[in-house]
Amino acid sequence: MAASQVGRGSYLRRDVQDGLLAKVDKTARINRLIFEVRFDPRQIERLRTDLEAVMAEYELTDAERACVRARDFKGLIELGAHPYLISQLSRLLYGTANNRNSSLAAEMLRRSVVASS
Amino acid sequence: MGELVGVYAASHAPGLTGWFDDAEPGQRERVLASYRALRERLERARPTVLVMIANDHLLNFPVDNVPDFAVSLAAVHEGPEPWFEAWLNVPPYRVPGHPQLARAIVREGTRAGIQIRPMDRLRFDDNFSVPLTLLTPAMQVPMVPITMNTIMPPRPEPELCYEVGGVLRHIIERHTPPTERVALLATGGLSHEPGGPKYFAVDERWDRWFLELLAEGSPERVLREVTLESMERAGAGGTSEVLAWLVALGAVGRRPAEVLGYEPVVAWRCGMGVVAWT
Repeated sequence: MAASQVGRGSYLRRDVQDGLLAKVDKTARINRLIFEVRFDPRQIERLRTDLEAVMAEYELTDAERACVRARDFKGLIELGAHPYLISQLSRLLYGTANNRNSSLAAEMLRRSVVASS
Repeated sequence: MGELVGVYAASHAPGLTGWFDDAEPGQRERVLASYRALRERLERARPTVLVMIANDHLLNFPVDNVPDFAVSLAAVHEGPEPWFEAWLNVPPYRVPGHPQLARAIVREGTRAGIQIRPMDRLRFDDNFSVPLTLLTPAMQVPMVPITMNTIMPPRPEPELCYEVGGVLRHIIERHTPPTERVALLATGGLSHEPGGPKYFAVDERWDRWFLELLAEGSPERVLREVTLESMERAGAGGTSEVLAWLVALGAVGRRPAEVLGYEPVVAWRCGMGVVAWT
């Protein structure tokens, strides 16, 4: 039986199928890491001083870890990281205050996500 | 049997408080003037409670657990979430909640078919901190924060959001004491694309088109044309925050909005709009 014959057809949600948000993978471990680290100042500090240990604790895949080490924010988005969380990852790594366009956090994001598009 | 005394919508971009001086001088004045105009209207409405609806920025809810809507039942709200204090340039604040109205929204909203989750507390970032700072800086008016999902697909669609607005109006008019004067403020948008290729761009044309549709006042036209696809084209992941504006539109129905101001503030990476329906 064709899928279209099952049920009445239009009860599922219709969100975008292409573009930035369509790539988000809710199972990607990097999303959980960023989400939780923000709440604990000690974890925020450890992200800078003990990055490998934090990535191991969150069981990031090898590909995710390689992207984090390389600050490849675009690569992380391709792996399913939510872009909004990625802008926060940049701030966790490079500082969050005065997040103007010329700030280090914004600039590092620009180089990875905007420049290579 | 209370009254809906005010319905408004405005942007909540973090740059407005966090790196205000980076905007061009003329834009700074005009943006402040639009929020000042909104503040005057809000004060003139003399609300006894302010219901604020805005997206959660994956602060309270991770990507794998995002409810359509959530409400904090707290008697007192605290903000901003500590890591966001420096980013927002907003010092810690407390604002009274309204547990009774919050519970009524959950109870009656659920009966109406809305997927709405009660929370003992909600963490606040720019979504509530920026508007509270600009519009009720004394932090005295009790508020009920409602967060919604505009950030993690599959998102509640414009038509659903519009209907939710109608349900909120019904709850306010049927399930609050006769003395309650409720103001509804939706925040978010306008065009922006956090973490994406258009991170440093603002789609002024889309923003002005959207505001023009609200000013025209035809809900049918808004719902027909302001689709998720349209929002994503203007700025993926960020522009869709205007789904909260569609909730406010649903509460007010067929009524033209008055645009109190619009500025495309590239320095804050967001189009800044302010409207009032009352």
